Amino acid sequence: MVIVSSRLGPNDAAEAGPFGAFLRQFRKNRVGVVGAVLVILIVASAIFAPFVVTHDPTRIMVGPRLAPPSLDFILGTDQLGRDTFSRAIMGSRIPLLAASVSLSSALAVGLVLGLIAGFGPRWLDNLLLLVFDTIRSFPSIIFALAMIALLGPSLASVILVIATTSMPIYARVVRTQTEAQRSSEYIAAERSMGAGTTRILAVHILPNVLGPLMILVSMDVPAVIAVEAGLSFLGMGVRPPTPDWGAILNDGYNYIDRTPWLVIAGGIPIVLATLGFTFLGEALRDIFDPKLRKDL
Amino acid sequence: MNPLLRVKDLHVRFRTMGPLKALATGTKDPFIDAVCGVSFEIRKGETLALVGESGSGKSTIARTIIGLQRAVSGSITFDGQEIEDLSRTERKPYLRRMAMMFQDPLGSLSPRLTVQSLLTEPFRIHGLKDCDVGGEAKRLLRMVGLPADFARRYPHQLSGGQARRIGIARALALNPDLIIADEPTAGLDVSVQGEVLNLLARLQDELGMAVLIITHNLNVVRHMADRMAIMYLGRFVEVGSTERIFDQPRHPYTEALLAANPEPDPDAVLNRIEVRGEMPSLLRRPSGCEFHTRCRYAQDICGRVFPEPSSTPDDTEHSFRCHLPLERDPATLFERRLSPVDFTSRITSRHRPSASPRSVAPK
Amino acid sequence: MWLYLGKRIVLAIAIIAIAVTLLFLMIRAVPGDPAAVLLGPRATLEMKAQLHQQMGLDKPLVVQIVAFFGGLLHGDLGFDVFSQRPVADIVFEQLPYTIELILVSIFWAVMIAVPLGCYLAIRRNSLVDQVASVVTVATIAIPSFVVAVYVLLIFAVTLRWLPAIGAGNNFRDVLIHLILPAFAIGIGWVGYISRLVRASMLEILGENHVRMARSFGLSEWRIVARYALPLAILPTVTIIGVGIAWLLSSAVFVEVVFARPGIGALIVSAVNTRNYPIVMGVVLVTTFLIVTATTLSDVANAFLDPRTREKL
Ligand SMILES: Nc1ncnc2c1ncn2[C@@H]1O[C@H](COP(=O)(O)OP(=O)(O)O)[C@@H](O)[C@H]1O
Ligand code: SF4
Ligand SMILES: [Mg+2]
Repeated sequence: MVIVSSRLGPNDAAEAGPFGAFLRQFRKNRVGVVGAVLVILIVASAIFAPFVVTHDPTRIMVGPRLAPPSLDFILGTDQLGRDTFSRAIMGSRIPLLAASVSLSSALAVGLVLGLIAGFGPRWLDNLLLLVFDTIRSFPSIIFALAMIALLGPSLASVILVIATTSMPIYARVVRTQTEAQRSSEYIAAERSMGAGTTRILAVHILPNVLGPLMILVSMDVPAVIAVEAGLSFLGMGVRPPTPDWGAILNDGYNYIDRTPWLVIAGGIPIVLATLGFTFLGEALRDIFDPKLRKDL
Repeated sequence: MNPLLRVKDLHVRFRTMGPLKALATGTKDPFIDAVCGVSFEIRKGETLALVGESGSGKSTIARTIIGLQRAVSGSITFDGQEIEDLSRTERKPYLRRMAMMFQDPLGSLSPRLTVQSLLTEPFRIHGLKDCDVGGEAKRLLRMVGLPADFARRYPHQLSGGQARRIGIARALALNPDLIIADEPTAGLDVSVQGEVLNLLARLQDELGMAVLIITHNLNVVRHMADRMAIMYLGRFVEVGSTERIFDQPRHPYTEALLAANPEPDPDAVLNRIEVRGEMPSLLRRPSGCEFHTRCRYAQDICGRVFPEPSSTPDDTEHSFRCHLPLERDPATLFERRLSPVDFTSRITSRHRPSASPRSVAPK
Repeated sequence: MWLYLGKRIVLAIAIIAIAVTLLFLMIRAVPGDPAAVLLGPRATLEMKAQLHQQMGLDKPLVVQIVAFFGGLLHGDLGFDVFSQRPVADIVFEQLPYTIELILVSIFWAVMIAVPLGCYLAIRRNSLVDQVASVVTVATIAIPSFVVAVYVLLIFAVTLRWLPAIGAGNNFRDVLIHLILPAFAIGIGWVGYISRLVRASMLEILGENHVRMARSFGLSEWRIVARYALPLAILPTVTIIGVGIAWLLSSAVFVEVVFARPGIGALIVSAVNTRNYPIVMGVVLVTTFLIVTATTLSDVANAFLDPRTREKL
């Protein structure tokens, strides 16, 4: 599958760099631009969090308890008198960390298993497909809760659960793409020249599989953020007092009849992050591979 | 002298359905024999053409020789060495000495590699690291008449004819002893077809490799091949020198193919062979002579007895499978060739025209 | 067709078997005495000894798995030491609440989403359609627990229009208690289904016989209702079967937020108290539900669309 410059004529490849073409197309997608801006803001604030925060996010009683927003405490304070704004900024690190670690390990494992399933012998393919289908038929959050019950609540458990449950989807996509290319004539041609399986997979199949896979992964980021926040909301994620969006929302929920501010402030980062990554992912998919996973 | 390639009694079969489905539908024999007892030889520097309708098993023979497909039985020897039963690694040194060009000129080029990488794949695969990659690519491009700046292009920036030239250049990269060309002109414009064939013929003259060429196109055969084999349902029905067969086909199927492709017009409808009726399914091979369902000369014996290969006493290299081989009579043959409609018409006459000068082969 | 059906059922059974084996091995993989793990922290020594014997922990692993399966086939999901009741009883007591919630959520979502999808297909590329395409993506993206907490804050805590917690007693009461939870779960589905209906509707509207009907002067709405809708609705029906995992996940959060009974609330409290038998019981029952639903929707799909049959 030729992803970028497939419509270029024989001679204009040099002029229009693929990246320039991409930027031009991306700018037209206004929702995608909004998403990109949100994502950049969130990632930047996570990286530079120590410089952005106005108070120590874990220090209690820097202000009054459950205070409404004010000039000093932009988003108010929580039940322990901690600054909600600082906690929300600092809290972006955990979801982003969870997303990057879990998705990259799911990607690595899914890639390897998908290549094996798509290129290996038929029985192995069937076996792996069965395993993928089994994992996918576990009810995700309920399965996550079960794993956490066994492993104990922690960020590591959350990451492990997310990686395990998202891996089969990637593996399936890789498998399908590999399978489609396996019978293609250029693979036969490589074999006829004496190329070994490793070489065929690494040089010829992998580059063709990677594009759609990266798009899928980028579209899963919001879902992972939601799961991490959700599990922390249930008290199954990071341990207090580590600041985390889900945990802040949970604090707000516990004091919902005392103040609306904590709930509002706790939910907004989750909403912005999931929207930002979703809009960005959809725009990337529309540009690179409109056929991919059309139905969500 | 030892032939370069010798194929002996080759059988290749494919599964048509999974074992479960076969059980469920009560099929006892869920296989088709795509290649069924084929034997031939190719000498050094020689060109053999495989001719036959689509689905007759030509590509399968090629794929089996190159090791993409396992044979059920039979032997393939290359330069005196048995290569059919070799493992992938054991086969590798032989793959340096033979190269295959696949049917789809563009589809056989890895889409994300530049022409330079594509052309030098064989060097990397066979661990010839110390060669000058850029220089080799330039040499190969020059050899097939493409400008050197093509080295930076990607397959999607090539036309069909250019892609085919790249395919030829890559096949010749390691200076092989044998080239297998599966329909090298399929899908190309007629003018480009001529160019590609001339290039192939010129390179063969210069480099002296043997060629196994697969084609529907009888003009290609006449242009290139020393010998030709006509395939029907996975078997050779006639083999012999090209000259002899064009001159005097002995098998009715060959006759019909030649008639459908009249000599004087080189641009006649190519890639199509017109013989009346449908080719039978490999799942249900006809009894006796497998061509009898479509043969206008068929007699009782044809439906009952399977014809063994026979040959004319004066040319043992020319062999054919027919109970009632065509009489050697160039004059009448020429007449027939002038009226191809007779052989292609769908109006079937079950009776042999009395005018047709044929003799029942002695059995 | 029958071959496909047979294969699909065998596959479903294989998946359930593998899932159960995996879960069993997971329990065994936890360090420490599996009996202690299964019974939880409050188990007495006799209870452990009894369970040891019951589970056949001295026997080979394969025998244990077979025994575990045997129990499952008899509907034996284990025993809850806390309440001194069979796990199956507890889980099946809570299950109807969750199913009721899911059904009501998906019902209202379909009722809104199908006409919305039709409308957007007819007014394709209009301003409304463009705005809707962004809004629907947003409703899919925002996690249901955030929606749940926000509607709780607005309609129950601040405005006090609707009850905040519980499931209600009489019919009217039950419905009123369902409004906010069903909204939180269903809103994402409104976005999802309306996009789906819109897309398949556009596909169908582009087909020849529909263009023909249009050329006869039938109004766009008539065409949609008569020709396109029945066809466009089919993918929706089958997608809901696949989406049951998603529905169950949302239900967990929504039940916690609105303090409703149900298996979501059950498993969360079981995890908090380390009540492993209940946790495993919920996982087993929901896995079974999901496999059944996806199998049914695959089979339905195969009946409607012959191409999918080839794929298995
Ligand atoms: N990989 C395969 N699996 C099953 N059947 C095959 C396969 N490859 C070829 N065949 C069958 O073998 C027969 C011969 O095919 P092929 O060798 O490609 O014919 P040709 O090249 O003469 O057109 C055909 O009936 C084809 O359907
Ligand atoms: S054997 Fe009979 S049917 Fe077969 S080709 Fe000869 S004449 Fe025709
Ligand atoms: Mg072929």
